[in-house]
Amino acid sequence: MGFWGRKKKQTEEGQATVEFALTLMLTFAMVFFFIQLSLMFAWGSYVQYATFMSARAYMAAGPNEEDQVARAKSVISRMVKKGESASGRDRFPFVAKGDGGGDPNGVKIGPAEQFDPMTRSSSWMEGVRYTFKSRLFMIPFGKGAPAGNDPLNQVTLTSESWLGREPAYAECVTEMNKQKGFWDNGC
Amino acid sequence: MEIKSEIKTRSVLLDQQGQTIVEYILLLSLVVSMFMLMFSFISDGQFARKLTRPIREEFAMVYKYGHPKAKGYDEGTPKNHPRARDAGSNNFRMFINPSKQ
Repeated sequence: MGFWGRKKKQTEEGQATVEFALTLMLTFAMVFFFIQLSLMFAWGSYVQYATFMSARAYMAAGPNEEDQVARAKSVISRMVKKGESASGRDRFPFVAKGDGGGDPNGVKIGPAEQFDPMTRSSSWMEGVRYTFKSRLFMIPFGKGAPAGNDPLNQVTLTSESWLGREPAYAECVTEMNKQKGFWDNGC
Repeated sequence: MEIKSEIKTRSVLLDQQGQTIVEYILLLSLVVSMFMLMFSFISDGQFARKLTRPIREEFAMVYKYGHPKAKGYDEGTPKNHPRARDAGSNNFRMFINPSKQ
């Protein structure tokens, strides 16, 4: 008689189950890794489109620069966040989260730090960029990364769309008023 | 009374009840400690870094600039950048010269 009064069996029954259970952990880790990776790639592709659409909204002329920024923010908030009224919440936080500050988090609208309209090497750096972080593995590991570096289980991706900006109506009027002459509302 | 008690004690000590569960616990602790050891090796060593580098570094640059070896102003001096115009860093608007990599 064996444990709990059962008859002991000296067979190999259950061996396959035990081996299956052991390999299941590895199999699941691999399957979920590829699912997570696919979601990240798909989201990354969508974000490229979102920044492009937001940069278009920023580029198009409007009454003033604030309006151009507000339109770009509205587009990106509706695409990568839960909406304009909930721009602090990521659309799919289990896939990616906005990172690096900004309003909304991860979004930077306008000229880059290096932007200089008078220098050809950096005059193009005006538009929209969005930075987000995504997990690689569903299981936590790699927290012991050196300070300043991302954890090994995390990928930081940045999508940039530098389309520039058309002068706003108010800017145009100001500029044209400087001209000492007649102008037929060319703005 | 004492004889009965002694017999009972002996029978408890000599039977094999619980042997499987004890062996199971011992094996389980061995498997768990091996798993923990393996995981700490993956986490702390260079293995995880090497394993994830193509995605964390090269793919990130492809996503941002369109080339795995490209660098932008965020990473210092632009290199292999499709739009930067700084001279001497193999920056070019359309194609990257493969002979200069």
